[in-house]
Amino acid sequence: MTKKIINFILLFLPLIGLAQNEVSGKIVEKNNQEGIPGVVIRWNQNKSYIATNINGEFEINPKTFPDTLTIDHIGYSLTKIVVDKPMAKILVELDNSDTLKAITVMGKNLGKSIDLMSARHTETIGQNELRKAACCNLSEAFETNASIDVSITDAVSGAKKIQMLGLDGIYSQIQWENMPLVRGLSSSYGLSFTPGTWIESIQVTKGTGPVINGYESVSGLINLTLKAPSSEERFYLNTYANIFGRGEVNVHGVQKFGRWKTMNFLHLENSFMDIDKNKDDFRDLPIGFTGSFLNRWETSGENFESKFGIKGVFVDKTGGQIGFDRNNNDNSKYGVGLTTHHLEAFAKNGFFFKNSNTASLGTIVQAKYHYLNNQFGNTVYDGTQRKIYINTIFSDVIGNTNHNYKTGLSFILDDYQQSFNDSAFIKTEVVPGAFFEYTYHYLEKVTVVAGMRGDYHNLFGPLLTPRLHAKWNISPKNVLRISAGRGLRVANPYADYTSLMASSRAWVVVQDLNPEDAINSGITFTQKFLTNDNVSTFTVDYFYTRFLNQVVTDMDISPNEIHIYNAEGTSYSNSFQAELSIKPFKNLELRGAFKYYDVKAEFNGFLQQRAFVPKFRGLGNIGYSTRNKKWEFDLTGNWVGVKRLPHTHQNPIEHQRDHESETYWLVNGQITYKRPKISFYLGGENLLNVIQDNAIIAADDPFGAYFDATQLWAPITGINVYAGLHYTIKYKKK
Amino acid sequence: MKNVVLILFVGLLTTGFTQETKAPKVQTIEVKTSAICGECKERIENTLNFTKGVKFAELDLETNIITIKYKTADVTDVQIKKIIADIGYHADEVERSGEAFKNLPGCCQDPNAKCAVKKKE
Repeated sequence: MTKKIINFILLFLPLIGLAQNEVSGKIVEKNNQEGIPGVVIRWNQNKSYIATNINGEFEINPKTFPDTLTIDHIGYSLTKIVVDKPMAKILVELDNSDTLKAITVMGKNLGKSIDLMSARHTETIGQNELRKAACCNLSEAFETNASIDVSITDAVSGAKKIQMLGLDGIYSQIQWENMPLVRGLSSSYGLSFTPGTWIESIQVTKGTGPVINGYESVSGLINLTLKAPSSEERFYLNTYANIFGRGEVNVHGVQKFGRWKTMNFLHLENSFMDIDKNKDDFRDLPIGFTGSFLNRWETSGENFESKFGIKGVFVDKTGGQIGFDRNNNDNSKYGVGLTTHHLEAFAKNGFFFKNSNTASLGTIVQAKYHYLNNQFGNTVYDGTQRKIYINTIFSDVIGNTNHNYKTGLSFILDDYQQSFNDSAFIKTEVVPGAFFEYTYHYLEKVTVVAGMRGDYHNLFGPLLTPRLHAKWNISPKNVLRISAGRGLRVANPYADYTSLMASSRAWVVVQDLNPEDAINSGITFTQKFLTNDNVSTFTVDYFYTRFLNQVVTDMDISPNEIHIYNAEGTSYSNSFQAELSIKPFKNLELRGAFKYYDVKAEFNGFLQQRAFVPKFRGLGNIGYSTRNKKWEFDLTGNWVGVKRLPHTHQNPIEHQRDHESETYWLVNGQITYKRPKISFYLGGENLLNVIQDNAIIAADDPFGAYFDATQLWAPITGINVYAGLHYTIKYKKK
Repeated sequence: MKNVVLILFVGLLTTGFTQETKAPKVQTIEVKTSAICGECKERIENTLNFTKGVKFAELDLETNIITIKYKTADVTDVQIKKIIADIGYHADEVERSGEAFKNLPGCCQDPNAKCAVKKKE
C-alpha cells in the first residue's frame, strides 16, 4: 500500500518540477483592452494546446525554451510570439481590424453547415463539372449528373424540365443560397432564368431536405450557390453561340470598397432564327430575348455579416408556327408567346454573440414580384405572384459540439392572381411556421439529424413535417445513410403544368385540390476505393415515395382532355440508382450510372406507370484532360428507355400514336482549350441526331380538336453545335 | 591518301560521338520545391504549363516534387528552375526569389495560415 502511494507521488514529481517552468499571460482585445475568453494557444515545440479562461488569462508549462506561441482565433489575424525564458508575463493584444476577418467568420459557419449536411446524401456539382457542358442555364447544368434527369417539356416552348427519383421537378425543392428559387408561378420555366455562368456550385440532396428550408422537398433538394463578392473574379466575360441562332453574353465582376464588396451580373440572350428540323411548319425553338441581372453586396462588422441584393429577369419569347408575330397577329397562325417579368430583393444577415463562440443567428428576408403571360394558340394564361419569405435560424450547441441544434421561425406570404382563358383565380397563402432540428455526432462515425417543423397554412390548417437523417461510417472509406420524412406542397396546376397548354386538350380541374402529401424514405451506400492512387466511388441508393395525396394530371381519360384531381393513396415511386465513377489515371475519369424507376399512379382508373417516365435509364461519361491541363475532352451519353405514352386511340387513325416510345441515346460532347486567362470551347449536343418524328399531333390543324404538342419523348431539334469562350481577370490574392 | 581516310574515319567517329552525347529532344526532370498549399500548386503548374517548351508540369503536394516534361530545344532545366524560383519557390539547389516570395498570397507564405487546400503534415 505504501509502495503504491510512493509510486503515485513519484509519478507526480516530474510534473511538479515542470510547473516551475510556468508561463502565464493574458490575451486582450486591442481596442478596449478586455480579455478574450476561449482563445486557443498552441506551443509549437511540444504541440500542446490550451484555451484562455473567462478573463482571457492562460497558463502553460513549456518543456523547452525558446518556444513559439501561436494564437489563432476566429476573427483575428494569426499572431506568433517567441518566449525565451520561463515565468514570463505575456500580454498579447489582438487586433480585429484585419481584413481577413470576414472570410474567417464565414468559414466558421460554412464548416458547420457542411458538418450537418454530411448526414444527408448530398452531391456537389462544382465549377469543373459545370464547365463540362457549356450550360446556358440551370436546366442544362444537370446533363452530366445521374441523380437528375432532364427532359424537354413540349414541342413549342423549347423549355427543359427536371425529374428526381422519377418524379416531376415540382417535387424537388429548388432554392438558391437557402432562398426559394423555382416555386409558385416560376415552377414551369424558372430553371431557365438562372444563367449557368452565375453558378459557383450546386448541392443536390436526394430525398427530403432539412426542416429549416420548409415543408416542401418531397423527392429532393437542389441548392444553388451563386458566385459571391468574396470571389476574386474582377471581370468575367462569357460568350456562347449555336447553330440554331442563339447567342449569349454573360458579364460579371467584383468591386471592392473597403469593407463593402459588390458583384454585378448581366446576362443577355437572343435567338433569331426560325428552326424547323422536323418540317412541321412549327418553330422547334422559340425566338426572342431573355435578359437578367443580379446586383449583390456583402459587408461584415465585428459580430455580424450581411448579404443583400436585387435580381431581375425579363423574358419575351415567341414560338409556334413560322410567321407568327405576337404584335401583329391575324389569328391565322398558331402562336406561342412567353413573357416573364421577375424582380426580387433579398437580405441575409448573420450575427455572432460576443459571449459565445458557438451560437449564431441568421435571418433571411426575400421579397418577389413575378408576372407571366403565356399564350398557346387561343389559350391564354396570365398570372402575378407577390411573395414575402422570412426565415430566422438560431443555432447553438448543447453542452459540447457533439450536440447541435437549430431552431427558428419562418413566414411565407404568397399572393396569386391568375387567369386561365376566361376564368380568374385569386389566392392568398399565409404560412407561419416554426422548426427545431437536433444533430447528434458520435465521434466522426455516426451523425443523426432529427427535425420537426409545424406550419399553419391559412387555407389548409396545420401541417406537421417530421424528418430524420442518419449516417454511419462503417469504415473510413464508406458510408451508409438513411433518410425518412414527410414532404408537402400546395399544387398550382396552371403554373406547375403550363407546358401542357400547348394542345387542344380541355382542362378539367377539380375545385378542391388538397395539398400534396408524401412520405419519402431512402437508403444510400457509398464506397470509395483507390485505383492507381486515385479516388474512385461507387454509390447505390434506393428511395421509396408514397403519396398520401397527389394532384395527378391524367391525360389517359381522353386525348382531348387533361384531368387534374386528387389521387389519394394510389401513387408511389420506387427509384433505384447505381453509379460508378472510376479514375484509372489522374487525368481520365469514367462514370457510369444505371437507374430504375417504378413510378405508378392510377390513370384513367388503372394503376400504371406515369407517362413519359422511362422504367430504365443509363448514363455514361468520359472526361479526359491532357497532363498540362490545356485541353479537356468530355463525352456524355444518356440512354433513355421505353416510356409509356398517354392513350390516343380515340383519335382518328392519322392522329393516333404508339403506346410506347422508342429507346434512344442522347450524346453530348465538348472540347475546351485553356490559356491562362481565356478558354475556348466547342461542343455538340445530340450528336447521334435523334429526332422524334411527327412530334406534334395534328400540326396541320393547330386550332382543331386533335392538336397536341405535349406528347414529346425525344429531342426534335437534331444536332446542335456551339462555341464560345470564358475570359477571366482575377484580383491579386493577398 | 591514307591520311585522308584516317581523317574521314576520325571525322565519322567524332560525328557519331557527338550525336550520341546530344541530349534527347524531350526530357523529363523532377524538381524538389517548397510549395505548401493548393494555391501554390496552381501557381507553379499554371506558370510552367504555359512556358514555351514545357509539355506538362505536375506538382505532387505530398512529396513536393514537380515532374516536368520539356523540349530541350526550347528550354533548359536551369531555366526551368529559375522560373520556379522567380514565382517564389525553391527549386532543388536554386534559392527562391525573396521578393517574389513576399508577393505570394498569405496562405502560400505561412504554413499555419488557412487555405482551401493545405498540404498534409
